[in-house]
Amino acid sequence: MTSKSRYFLLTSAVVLAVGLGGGLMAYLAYQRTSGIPAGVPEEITYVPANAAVVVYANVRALMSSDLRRELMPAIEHGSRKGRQMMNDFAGIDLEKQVDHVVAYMEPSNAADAAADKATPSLETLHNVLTPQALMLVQGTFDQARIEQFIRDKGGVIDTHNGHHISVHQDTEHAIGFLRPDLLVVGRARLVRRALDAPGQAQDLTTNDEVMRLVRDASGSTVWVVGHFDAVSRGLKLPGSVSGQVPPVRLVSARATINGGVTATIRAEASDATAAEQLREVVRGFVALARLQGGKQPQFDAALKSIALSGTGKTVQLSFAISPETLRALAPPHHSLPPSPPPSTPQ
Amino acid sequence: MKRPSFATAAFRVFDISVGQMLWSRRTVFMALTVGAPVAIAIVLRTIHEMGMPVLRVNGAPVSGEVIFGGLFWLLYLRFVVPVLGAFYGTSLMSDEVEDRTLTYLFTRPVPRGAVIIGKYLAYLVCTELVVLPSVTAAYFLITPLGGGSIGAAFPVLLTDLGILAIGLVAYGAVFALIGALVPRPLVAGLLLVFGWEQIALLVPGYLRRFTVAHYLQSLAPQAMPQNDTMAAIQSLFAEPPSAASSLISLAGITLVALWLAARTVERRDYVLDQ
Repeated sequence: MTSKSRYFLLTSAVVLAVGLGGGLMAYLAYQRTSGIPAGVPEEITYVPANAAVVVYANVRALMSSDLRRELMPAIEHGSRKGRQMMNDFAGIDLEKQVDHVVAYMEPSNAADAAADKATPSLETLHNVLTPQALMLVQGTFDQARIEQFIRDKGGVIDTHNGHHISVHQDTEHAIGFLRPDLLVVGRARLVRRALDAPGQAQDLTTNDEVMRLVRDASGSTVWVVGHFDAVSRGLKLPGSVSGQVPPVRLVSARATINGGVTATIRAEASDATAAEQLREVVRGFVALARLQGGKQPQFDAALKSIALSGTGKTVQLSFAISPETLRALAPPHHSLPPSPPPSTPQ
Repeated sequence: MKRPSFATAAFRVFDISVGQMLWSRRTVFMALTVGAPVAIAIVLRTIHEMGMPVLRVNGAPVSGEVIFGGLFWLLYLRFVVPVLGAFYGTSLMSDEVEDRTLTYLFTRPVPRGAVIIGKYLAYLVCTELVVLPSVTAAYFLITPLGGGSIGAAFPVLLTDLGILAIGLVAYGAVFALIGALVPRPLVAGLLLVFGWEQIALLVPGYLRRFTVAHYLQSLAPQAMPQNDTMAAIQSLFAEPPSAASSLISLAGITLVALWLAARTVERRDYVLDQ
């Protein structure tokens, strides 16, 4: 072998080794990232480690997205209803005052354990049957105005651990003021726990498995991470469908929204075999969808963008939806009856 | 003079052949083939650095991981690996025949089979050390686009590199056999890659099991990009084998093809044009 050939091969080998070494270092750094990684909302420290589902929405990005402006006529009714609920409950203007929202749902057995174990009291049954959810709303709020709004509606402002809290006596829902820019809304038990202190119990950052998915999803406009059984219950998947899905432990979905939507759904199966089975199931559905969708040109681009990937126990499905496709999917715009004007503090 | 062992003879042929392969006219083709994906990656990265959206599907940005997956499938797995295998694998013996230099090798006191094995090893070193750095460079340039993480996707890169390395091993062995058997091996090789393999993968049934692509593509962590109806049909009828059975099949194909190639070279009388 000539020295020219030897140097060429050596250079190629060094380039490859440097690339692999750099990639390995990036991988190890990614694995060892602790605390709150960049891009992950700090409110995650209020989420318990055993949360069944965690949801994040960058409300400001959503509200200012081209997509929302384009789809406004079609989604106006549902959007108005949600905004009205927030306004009625706490006088918060979702569109103007909220930056982002982090919400979580506890598994029902955790709520059960937290309640009285001796005899199934009414409270225990209520806790088990009612979704145990909490929403952390970060934004720019006028606390005095919101408290006045609650008093005007007949509510009472109490103090819990130095924070103001208002509990709705009938529904057991509450709103608490963690910081001037951070509200907690949800079940009174969970609101009180959040007001006690962040990180008092084991928070989500100690759950490496879920945090890996959260880190992956961070930076997206909307994401949801959770245990598959909780997510499938939330989606109300029929038993016949969820029974056909190979064993999946964790699932995450993330979407970046602006002109269109780029979404990624990731599932962590119980083992590599289950993951391969799931890939085959998804592959089959995707192929069928493509054959069916070919008849409808508005879905053609979205179907072509579908990419199935993942290694080991991970299965990942990515796709992109254009504004045109979303318009085709959105419900038709019907003329709505005029809604009552939003309540305002007196 | 003591006759060298098969391994020693193969290594000597390998040592001579590496330089011949690297600095032949085919190197230009190889440089273009593996340079094109890197050039595409540089262009995409430049567009990204200039603040422009890299790739959009009707308005929605596509992530770097997805772009890299498409590049891996469409350029490397479906084109670069089989085509480099065909160009270099089929030339292992035919170049010596065409250049009338085969006599110099066959008159040496080395087993004839060691000639093709040594040349095959030289092919592997040359192609692997050119293709794999190219994939790595494309990965580092493309993956960070659209919020992708180099660290998170690193296991996928390792799998991709492994698949391409195995692909070059298997295709090289098959084309080495074709080169040892057929008078015009390059035409036969290209027909195999772009004719037989493409048709067999589309036909439902057992035919696909007689292709390298069937086993190789089933190892890919990324899903096959399906940008036309044919690809959708292929995916619909596909019954991908498990990773273990694919690896065993590819190892079997490689060993059988190499053994047959060495046996053919040992027994065949090559007639050199005067």
